[in-house]
Amino acid sequence: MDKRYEVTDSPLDPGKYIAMVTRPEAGAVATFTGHVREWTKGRRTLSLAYEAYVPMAERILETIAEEVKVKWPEAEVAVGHRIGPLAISDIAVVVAVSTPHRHASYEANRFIMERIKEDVPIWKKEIQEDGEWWKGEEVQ
Amino acid sequence: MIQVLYFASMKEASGLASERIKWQGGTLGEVMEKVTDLHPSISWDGVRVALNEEFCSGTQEVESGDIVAFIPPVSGG
Repeated sequence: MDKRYEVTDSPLDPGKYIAMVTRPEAGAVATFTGHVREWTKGRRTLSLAYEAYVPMAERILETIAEEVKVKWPEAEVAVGHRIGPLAISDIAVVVAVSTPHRHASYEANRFIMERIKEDVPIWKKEIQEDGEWWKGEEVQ
Repeated sequence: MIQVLYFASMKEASGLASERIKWQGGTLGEVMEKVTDLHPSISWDGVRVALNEEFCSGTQEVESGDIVAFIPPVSGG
């Protein structure tokens, strides 16, 4: 059975996560896909490499989904995050949220992405023309 | 024995993804002191600690068989 909260080294298919939250009660599915960006403030990224503490990351994704259910009881959530080497424009993360009406799906989706950036043990290494470093530890 | 896990910049600083450390008991803070002795080049800026996959404070007691993971600032998404 497909995992609702998944960290994987395989390419992400947004349709898989959308399918997991699609149901007759849900009139809205908000899907966010995060992609590898080539240009950031004039610096060129050649590729990225993500690393995770996989079992803890999947547990925290599940905890975040529980937080969503407290704030938006009618929401259903599926999240996939990719690890390993990624190329420009590859999908790094998929967040799919279904709710009966659209407003809650947008809000819950945004909440999940903010929480991922706070607490989920996943790290991004930027490989650029002039070197490579872990995001958050750049020497400017 | 406890198992200690290193990720991202800490993995590069220690040269290890994980190691086993002899443990007679003590707090997470004491594990960090031990790791600093073993790997003086590790930077602790913004590092959080997880005990058995849960974020914990440095006063938490660590027992033999536990898994301690050091979590440098995360950058998922």
